[in-house]
Amino acid sequence: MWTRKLTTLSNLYPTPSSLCWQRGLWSCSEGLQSIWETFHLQCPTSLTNSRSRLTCPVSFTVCLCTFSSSPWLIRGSRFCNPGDQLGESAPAHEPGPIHGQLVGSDKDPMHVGHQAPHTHLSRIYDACHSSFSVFSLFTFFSTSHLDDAFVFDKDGNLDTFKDHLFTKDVLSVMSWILIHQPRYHTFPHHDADGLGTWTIVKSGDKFWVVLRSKNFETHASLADIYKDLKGYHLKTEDRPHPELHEETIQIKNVEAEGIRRHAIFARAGDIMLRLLPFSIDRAYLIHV
Amino acid sequence: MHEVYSPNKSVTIGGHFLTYDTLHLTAVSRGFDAQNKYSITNQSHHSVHPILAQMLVKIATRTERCLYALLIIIRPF
Repeated sequence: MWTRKLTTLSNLYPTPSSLCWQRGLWSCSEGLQSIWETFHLQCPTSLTNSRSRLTCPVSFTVCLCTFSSSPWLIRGSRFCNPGDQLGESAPAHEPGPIHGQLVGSDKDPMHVGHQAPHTHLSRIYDACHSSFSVFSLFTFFSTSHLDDAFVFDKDGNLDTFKDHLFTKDVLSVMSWILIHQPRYHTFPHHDADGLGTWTIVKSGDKFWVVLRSKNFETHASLADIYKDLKGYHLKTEDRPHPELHEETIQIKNVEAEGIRRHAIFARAGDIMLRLLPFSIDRAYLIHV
Repeated sequence: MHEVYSPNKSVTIGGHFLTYDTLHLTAVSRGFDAQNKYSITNQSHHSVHPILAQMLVKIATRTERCLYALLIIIRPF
């Protein structure tokens, strides 16, 4: 039985010590299936200069079974700008291209149906909020904590690293800012290099839509998974690196191609941790 | 696989990271990218490889990693 109580996620936003997710205190009182982690966050340096408000420590508790391949959504942090506090009514949304593509299912609370935009948002919000544990039901890979991937010298600065192993690209990996206009929509993709992702919505709203193939559950080999994933290829002209590809395959009908979309709606202040690059946990178990 | 839609003006901060606990899936993802020439990803970072190398080094050089190694051993699977 393990007992630790505090994990510190320190200084997440761009300093040389970013992403120093220190080993903290955690507990595992009921075996591997139930690990409760308490995260004590120090608010990162913000886009604004309101340090007095934004540096207030935020504490919250997460029922962390393990890291599954599904994203984590943590509601109600204070990492948001004034006027975007939780509890306010959602702003009026115009129907966007993705609204008509969401597939409905009563069995999966994360699976949203065709609704008017305002109802749509409300249902997603409630589903995400009430079914938080759904994110982590599948608990094969027990995880003790958010591990620090790498640590910079806290007393150093960027110039320290210019001639060393790490380049400034490390910083672009660790932290970035997305400023999006209304109705901005990215193409289906996965984050490169097997990186996990953390995001904090500072202002406005975001949909993260996870695409999952129904066939993942029946694949017998990693090669089958790769073959299935190749079905996601975009048209050549829509790809970020069109010079590298010859295939011209496009997702035309997601339902016909067996791709399910799971929408996660995040409002200002919400934190999303997407720890795994692919949603293939069940398929991967076959090979363990 | 995912896509992102912003229904209104939004500002989001974020970042990437690696964890020891998910390196097996990192390997799957990197393997797919290598075979398919980064066809369905958005941006590749050249710093990831040295980061992975440093992670490997730190397992041996950081004493607190011993606990992590112990946890791997006692896992019942």
